[in-house]
Amino acid sequence: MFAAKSPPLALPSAPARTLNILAELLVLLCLLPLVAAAIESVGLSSGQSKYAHWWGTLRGWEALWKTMQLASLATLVAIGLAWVLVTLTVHCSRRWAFPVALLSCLPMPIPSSTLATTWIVLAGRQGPLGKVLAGVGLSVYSIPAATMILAMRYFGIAVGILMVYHLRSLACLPAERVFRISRFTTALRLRLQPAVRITAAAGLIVMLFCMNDHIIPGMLLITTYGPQIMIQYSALLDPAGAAALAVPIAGVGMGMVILALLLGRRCWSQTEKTHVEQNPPGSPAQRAIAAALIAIILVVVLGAPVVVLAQRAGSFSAMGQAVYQARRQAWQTLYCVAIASPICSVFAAVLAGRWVRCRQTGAFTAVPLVLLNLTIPATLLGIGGIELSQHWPLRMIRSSSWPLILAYVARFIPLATLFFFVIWRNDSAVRNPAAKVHGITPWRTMFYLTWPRRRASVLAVTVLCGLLIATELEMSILLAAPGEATLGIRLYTLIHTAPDSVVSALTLAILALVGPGIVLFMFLLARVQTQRGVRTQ
Amino acid sequence: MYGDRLRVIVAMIVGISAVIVATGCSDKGEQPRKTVVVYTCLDQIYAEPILEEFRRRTNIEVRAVYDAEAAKTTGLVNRLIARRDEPDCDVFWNNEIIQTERLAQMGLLARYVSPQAKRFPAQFRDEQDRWTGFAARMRVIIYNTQMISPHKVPKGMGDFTLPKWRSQAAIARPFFGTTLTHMAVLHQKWGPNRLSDYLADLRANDVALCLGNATVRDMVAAGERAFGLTDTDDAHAAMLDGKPVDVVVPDADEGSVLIPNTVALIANCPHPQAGKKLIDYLLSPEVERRLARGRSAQIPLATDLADVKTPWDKLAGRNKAMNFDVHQAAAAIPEVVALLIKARMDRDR
Repeated sequence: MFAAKSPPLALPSAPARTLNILAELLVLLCLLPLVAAAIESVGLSSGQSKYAHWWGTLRGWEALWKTMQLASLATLVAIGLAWVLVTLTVHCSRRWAFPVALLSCLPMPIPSSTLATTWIVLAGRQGPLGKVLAGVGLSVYSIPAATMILAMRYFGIAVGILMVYHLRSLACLPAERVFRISRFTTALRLRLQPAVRITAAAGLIVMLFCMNDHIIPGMLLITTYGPQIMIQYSALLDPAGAAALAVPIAGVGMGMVILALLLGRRCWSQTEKTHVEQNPPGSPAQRAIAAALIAIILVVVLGAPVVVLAQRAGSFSAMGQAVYQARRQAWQTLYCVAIASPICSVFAAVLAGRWVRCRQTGAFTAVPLVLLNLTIPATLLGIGGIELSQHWPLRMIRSSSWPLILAYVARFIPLATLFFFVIWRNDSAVRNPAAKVHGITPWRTMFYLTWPRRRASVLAVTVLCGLLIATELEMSILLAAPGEATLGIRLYTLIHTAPDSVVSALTLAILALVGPGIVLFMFLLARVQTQRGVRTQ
Repeated sequence: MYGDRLRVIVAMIVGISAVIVATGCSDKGEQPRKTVVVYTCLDQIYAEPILEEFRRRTNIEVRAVYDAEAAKTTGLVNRLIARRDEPDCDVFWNNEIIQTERLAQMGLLARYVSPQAKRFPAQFRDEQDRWTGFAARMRVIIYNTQMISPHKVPKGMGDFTLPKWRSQAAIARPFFGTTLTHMAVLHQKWGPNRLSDYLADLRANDVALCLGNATVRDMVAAGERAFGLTDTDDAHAAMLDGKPVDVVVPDADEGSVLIPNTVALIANCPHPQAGKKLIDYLLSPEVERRLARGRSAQIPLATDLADVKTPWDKLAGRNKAMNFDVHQAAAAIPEVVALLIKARMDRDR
């Protein structure tokens, strides 16, 4: 009788229509480099023969198979490691989730080449682990070693995803507590399927990162598709041939991300509606054992490379000296971060807003297509960027930092959009129309209603994009303007020529610069989670 | 309350914008009147001080793009080709010779006769004056002194395929840099059939294919492989760092493979006058001396610098440079690459 009527969905206002058009246009702009790279691969007269060369024979398939083989192995190890770590952490103390996830992500800002070199020093024939490996008939230049190093670099992604899943779903349900249903029974009946789904989703994401890393396998003498692209591009001076190999592999990556999203989405919708209560902590002995195991895993994954780097760097003054010598590149990196990350964040907010509105109203939008940019190798975006910078209007700014900044935006906007979408997708659509009914202007609504709710997430995404931009290398190498190298490029050009101490000191300095950024991001992420919890209650 | 927040937000946005604008303005304000853009494949630690010295002396700002050895993804040559209609580069300073010649054959290089060029032997100059070679590196076999005794040191390229050295040798993946040049030289010297057989033998003998010459050096220095093929600059860095390595010239009786740096002016470049000044400076005796004394220990090629000492002076074969036709070698690159691919040098076995 007194059932509340849903407010009628108002027609979009003029500013909303403008934002909608802007969002669809942004999608188009973000995809331009990818389209340019694809055209580069097929648009030339010999384009089709390039595809036939790779994919009409075994060559392309062999490269893809080798890459997938290594990436799959590394993913299995990463997921196994992540499950152990997350399970131990959650059952030990939920308060440890944040620092453990944070520490697991720390290997990612270390450049692949530095990480590989560090492990070669550690596990090489004359390194402290070398004899152990030799004892079991292994060498650091082997597929198992490459698998382990790749897994240790990227397992932080899986830890992050699984940790959030565990925190949301592994607490006990009221029914279990009241009726004393065993955990095993509950796990089998309720949790097995979503756990498998989220593990598969996390695995696909980790696998994508492993596939696109050709530096670590290359340094350990394992061939993936990366060297093939380099041979086409640098030895044969044939960008079209390189793109003909890279584009279909990028397609495989896209398929993996789409599958991961589908799996993750279903799992998420199953777990988020569950009313959860916290599990009782284990006994002190169980917690002590869990803590010891967590410490061992983190020391092996993170401590060993840092100790080796510190030993090779020598002293704090060496780090200071390294930063001083790289001050120009450091400033350039900060400049790019300061411009590109807010742009990423603002544009992604527009895109995610459009995506959320369309999801709520069932309208069509092309925004999810922007995720394609995240799934392809960054080198491909770089090649597309070079192609685009030959033409108006980018031609006018190609000797500045802007082509690189725009490439950063195109690369990281998908991640930012996805992040916003996940956080905002359940935001009530009723508040803003309510403000409209009361005659409040859209700007006032945005500042006083929307911004306070979304501030933490926007800042978190800005920091995340900043971190990714600060450590990006592949596009930077291709697109940096003359005299405007970034910190990553400097490290990469020095890595084999400068004395070990200089390279190690610079790497540690970069870690020291990036570390606080990761802490800030995790802090903001915790705020976002808290706000979401408050809102859903 | 909300007003305060709004003011804070606006202040932050204005502040950040001001910093960005100020940064941009200050950069431009400090720019000297003239600029030269150089693409250089020489390692940054060697090239940077030289370019800085040029800037200090001439007040011409040098904007450099450096190559990265480890990945070869930079494709400075590709970048030049992609921008051939409207180049943003004035000077190409390559650390080898073949790619420069390829650019010359594509018509991307301008003719320029530096006053310094006549100091260099004709074999290191382009007949059409599109590039000049200076300060060379030598291809050497680097070996681990703790693993190989002096009387058993490999002496030539043939040792890489001997069964007694199975799984003991390393070379860089020969699609890039000086190793590709070396393969082109062998192609010219041996012919395609012998080179093809040799490559097959390399694979059969489990020679490690590394990412670059520096990786070869690191593997040998770490004892992962007993010996390998690399350049003198990489070897010298390891020797300076106290690693247990030494070098010999492969097939010394036939002469050494000397690979010079090359410098060229880009056709239709935006700053030709400044570019010519930089080329003159790079070809000056001072730069060759500096490169010889530095960590890369490069070998001066100018006829008036024969007195400059390098760590390689006592090596057998040092004083006899192997003659090869650069134009032919550059033109043969696609054929050499095809042979390399046929021998599966781009893949694991």
